[in-house]
Amino acid sequence: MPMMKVVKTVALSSMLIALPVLRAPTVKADDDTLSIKEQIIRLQNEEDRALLRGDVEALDRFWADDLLYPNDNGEVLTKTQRLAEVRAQTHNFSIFRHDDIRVRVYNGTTAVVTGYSTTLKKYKGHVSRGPRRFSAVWIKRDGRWQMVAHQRTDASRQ
Amino acid sequence: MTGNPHWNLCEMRENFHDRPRIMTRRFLCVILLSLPAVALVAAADARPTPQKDPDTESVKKEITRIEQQYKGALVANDLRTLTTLMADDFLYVGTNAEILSKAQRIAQLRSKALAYEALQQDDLRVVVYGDTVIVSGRNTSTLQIGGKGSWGPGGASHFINPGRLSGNALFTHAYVRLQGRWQMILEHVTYITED
Repeated sequence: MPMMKVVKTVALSSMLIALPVLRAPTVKADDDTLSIKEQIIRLQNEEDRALLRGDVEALDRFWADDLLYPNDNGEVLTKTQRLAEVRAQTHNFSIFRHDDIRVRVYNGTTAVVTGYSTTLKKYKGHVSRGPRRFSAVWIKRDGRWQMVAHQRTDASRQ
Repeated sequence: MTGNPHWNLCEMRENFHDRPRIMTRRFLCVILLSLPAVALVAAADARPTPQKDPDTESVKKEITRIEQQYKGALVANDLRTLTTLMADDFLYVGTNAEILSKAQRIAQLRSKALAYEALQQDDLRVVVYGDTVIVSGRNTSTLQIGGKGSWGPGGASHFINPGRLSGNALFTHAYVRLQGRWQMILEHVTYITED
């Protein structure tokens, strides 16, 4: 039946073409259901867990290529240097504990996170639980959030 | 459906001799039917793209100039300029791990509880991400600590030792272009300690 074939062709074409269109509302729904602040807090927690297990692959995704990471030893570490530290286990985290987390969002594409940390860590043989105040800046590029800056201040040293 | 073949593009009647022609027609039929949907997809994906700065170097120059202005305003205790440069949601994370809002930071400087006698910046790195800029660098400062404040961690004072204080610190400044001008949204300063 030629008519049936026409119908089949039209149906098939419509399905193939409609797939990307159907994808768009899914992304929108995700944005609607999870506010940016919730997304950032979730990402921050995921990044913490990646640090805890020394997951270089995950951290490589979370951190922007131009990440700037000033530490309290007077160094501004790059992403490559930070990943090398994680890979070499120079920086070992035992327990993560973050409190007083605040997220501020600007233009829908930039988020600043601040928090208070009593994370138990070992850095170059020195064990510390803080407390530390940290800040992190996340930006959204090409549809995904990445950390572009991170800094902490060790309150226990004052 | 047997008229002019040019007007029967989607006719799918099987005929062994016409098979190549029919296949070509089917292909063209799919393409033609797809065109409106392709246009629809293109429209759905046409999201507003963030304004891309044509010249990252000019943004870097502008931010470097603002950094100079900010530093000068701190030393001069020029609160009007500082108020302009800081975004309303500005956050300051200080060397004693205190976190201050814009109003608290301005109040701290106004009260002269903390005054900058000298401030030098070195090793400035500026990274531009469209309408967001990250700056990091090293501060060498001389401060005059005039008294106690109430904006330390947990509400406690963080001015333990009033008097003159000199030291080196690393800092991060974050800027966002808001209402057409660059505004600082975050300043985080950490004293460099020797291990």
